[in-house]
This record gives sequence, structure tokens and C-alpha cells, in this order.
Amino acid sequence: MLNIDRDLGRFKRIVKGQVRKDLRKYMSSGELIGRKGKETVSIPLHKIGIPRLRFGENKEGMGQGEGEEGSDPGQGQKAGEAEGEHLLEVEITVQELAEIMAEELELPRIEPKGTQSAKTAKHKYKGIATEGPESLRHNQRTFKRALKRQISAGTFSPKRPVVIPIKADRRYRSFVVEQEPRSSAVIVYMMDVSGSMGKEQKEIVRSQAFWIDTWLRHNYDNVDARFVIHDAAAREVDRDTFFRTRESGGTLISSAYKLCMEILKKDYPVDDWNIYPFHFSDGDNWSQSDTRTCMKLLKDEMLPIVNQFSYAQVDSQYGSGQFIKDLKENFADHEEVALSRVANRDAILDSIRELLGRGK
Amino acid sequence: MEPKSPAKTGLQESSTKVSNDLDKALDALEGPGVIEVREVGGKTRVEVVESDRLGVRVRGVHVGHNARDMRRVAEVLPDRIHALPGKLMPVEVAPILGGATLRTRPEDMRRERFFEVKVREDGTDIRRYQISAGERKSKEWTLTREQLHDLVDEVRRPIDDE
Repeated sequence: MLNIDRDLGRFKRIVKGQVRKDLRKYMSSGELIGRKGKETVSIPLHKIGIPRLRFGENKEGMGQGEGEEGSDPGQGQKAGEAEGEHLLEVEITVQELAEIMAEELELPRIEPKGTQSAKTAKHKYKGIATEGPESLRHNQRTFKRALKRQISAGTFSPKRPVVIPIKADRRYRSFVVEQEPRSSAVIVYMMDVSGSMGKEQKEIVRSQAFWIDTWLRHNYDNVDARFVIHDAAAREVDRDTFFRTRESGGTLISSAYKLCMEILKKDYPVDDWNIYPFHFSDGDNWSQSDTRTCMKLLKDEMLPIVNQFSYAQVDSQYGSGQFIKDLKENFADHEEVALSRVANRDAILDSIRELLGRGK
Repeated sequence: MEPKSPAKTGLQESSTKVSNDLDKALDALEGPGVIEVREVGGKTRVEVVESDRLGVRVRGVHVGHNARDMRRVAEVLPDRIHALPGKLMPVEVAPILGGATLRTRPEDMRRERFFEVKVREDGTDIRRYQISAGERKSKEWTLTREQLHDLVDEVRRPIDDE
């Protein structure tokens, strides 16, 4: 192993250790949201020692090499007045981040269901063809073919081993289509955007959604995310609108569950998809009769088809609402129901552990 | 001096009658219980913890009325209600559901206590809550009899009156 590889490995270990150490902070501050690319996450590290040269004691002797006369100094910019902040931006993959989170929160790997029937067509370059684009020419096979031809024709001389392929010798890589089992998951994020949900509550939801997304994408090859907002009525929106919308209306939670079921029934056959509805609210449902409707919807329609239904109740400045208590009362013994109360940003890490810690 | 309109006079008479009836019901009550007063527009119900000649300790007050325009109700009530400590603000206004919820403004909350006023088309519920370790618990509060009369009157009075 080259020294540079060893050093890089060591540096990566240090970075991971630092991320692990500061994970609670990253989770509560939401610092990583917006830094996520398709494959990597950019992480600002505050306290990491940059390797630098250290000089030993001065010894006797001196040396001088040949040098050239330097040019005149140019006009530089003025120095800044404020003290500089030493931030180091490192990029780690989403997979690595998910692994760090899993280790730190002791999350079990998810056991997908329904993966056998869900198949996807994959193109693999396994075959050899006599025709194809030059970019896919298989030189080794072409050479072998030419050699065989020359030997059988008696034109090959071991004393002067020259092999010249002709057009008929050319061989090309060709793909075959293979059906592979695929693990697919759909996450339906539902959020209460009624007047009682404030900006702070939404930021907490945003942070949680980031970590949920990271974890489920780590566990499944293919993840779809759908977003539903609701106050008295529910509607499907894009990710951006999901986190930005605020309404002043009352809260009818059943409207979200009904829309969620419509989406699932229409687009995600239960045999092919692992289904994860996540609902975030402050727990102030409009009426007990609507709460009863919610319980019936969950029991009769949603729970039979999902891997896990998760509900996170975010405290507002008026405390925590009633809905989580109603859920506990009705589904305390249901393994596929994960409930969590989030008092503030510092509670995000524990809440993620409660929601994702079942390996469902 | 401009003579009072018959409607206003009727309203004042009705308010006085409700106040008198409340006092009578409170006087007749021994220990904790619920008192009810019927008047045109609806029934007023008070969950009483204890009472004496001066004041009353209540767990909740329900004032019956007819309210249709919930946006207007949510707009008017915070300025109208003076019988509760701290100013109210609308938290949820849902004409489609026929209701609105108002709570004490966060800056007016003391020791994590707040009032919640739930307005529905047929009446308004007033309760006080205490937040304890994030949990919301119903908490009784004390009013003078005059404050109770004012509270009921402020909530009962039609919104069009503003």
C-alpha cells in the first residue's frame, strides 16, 4: 500500500470519527440539509487538525541553490480585520453518512419485504457478438479468433508470430437483459401545515425528513418520495412546497391519511413496494370524531399494507397535542406503528432512533 | 342625548338577565358542579370548582351563541375579550370546518399557562392549560363574579355588533 493511500485512509477515519462525535449537533442544527448532492454530502468540520510540517532543532550548516532574480511585488488586497474561522469542508458519501448514523444510533438494517416479486431489467455486458460498435470491440477475443483462423489456414508461423485480424475476426461485447430482484421503497411524508404548526416545528420536520431519507436510501436500491400537506384538506405537493407552506386552517388529520391511501393504491402495488408513511403534526386534531376516523383508516387500510407507519409529534410553544396519546391507546401493541414525540431540536436524534430503530 | 336602539336595549337586558341568572345559580351551588343558564341564542355552562360571594374558581366556560363568519370572529374576539389575562391570538381559523381556535399570545403566557378559546358555530369553549414537561393539562382559574359576567357577555355579544 502506498503511503498516500494509508494517509488517506487515516484521514477518512478521522473525518468519520469527527462526524460521529458531532452527529447530534448536525441532526439538531439541520446543518447538512442543502449540502446533500446526489451521491455525497458536504460536511463542515470545525475542529480537525490539518497536517503540517514540524521543524526540528536548528543544526549547524547551511545550503544555497541557484536562484533567479524575482519580479517586483504586485499590489495586494488589504488585510481583513476579523478573525478567520477555520472550517474544513469534507465530502463523504451518503452511504457513509448513513453508516455513521446507523452505528451511532445502533439502527438495525431493514429487512425489506416483497423484494422477490419486484424485478428490474438490467443490461449486462456478458455476451460476445460478431457485430457491434467499434467502441465495444473485444480486442482479446478478436485476436484469439484471428489466431485460430491463421493456425487452421496454416498461415501462422511460430518463428514469426504475426497475427493480423480481418473484419470477420472482429468480436464485440454485447449486452444481455437480466431480470434482477429489486428492493424498492416509497416514503409518503405527510405534514400538518395548519396554523398551529410554526416555523420551528417545520424546521424540525425538515431535519427529520433528511435523516429518514438518508437511511432509507441506504437500505433500498430504489426510493420514491411523495409529499402530502394538510390542514383541513390535504394535497400532494413537491418537496420544496412541502417544507415552505404554512396555512391558517384547522387540522383534519384524516384528510392526509385518505390522500396517502389514494397515492399508495394508485401507484405502489403492495407486493412490489416497501411502504413507509411518515406523518408529522403538533397533535392538535380538530375533533375526536376525526381522530376516530383516523384510527379506523389506519387499522383497516393503512397498517395492513405498510412496512411501518411512523408518527412524530412535534411540540409547539403550547405543548404537545392529544393525537399521539390516541395513537398509543389504539396501537400500543402494533409492531408496525412507530411513535415519537419531539420536544425540540435536541430531541431529533432520539426521535430518529425511535422511528427507525425497529429494522422494519 | 340619542335614544338607544331597541336592539341594543334588548341586548343589555339579556346580558343583565344572564348575569343575574349566573349569580343565582352560583349562590345555589354547594361545592363543585356545573351551572347552566338558558337565554336566547344559547345555553351558558360553567364548570365550577368552588365559589363564594366574590369570586368563582372554574375549570371551563361554555357560552352558547350563533356564529357564522369564523374569520370575522377570529378577528374581533382578541380585541374584545378583556376578562382573561393576556391577549388572545387566532391559531387556527377554519370556516370550512365551522370553527376557529384562539390562544393566549406566546409573549403573554406566564409560567407556561395559556387560555384556549374554541369557537364553533353553536358556542364557544374557554379553558386554561398548563404545560408541564411538554404535556398540556387542563388547569382551573379564578375570576371575580364581575369578570365572569364580562367574559360571558364578551363572548355572547354578536360579532355584527362591532
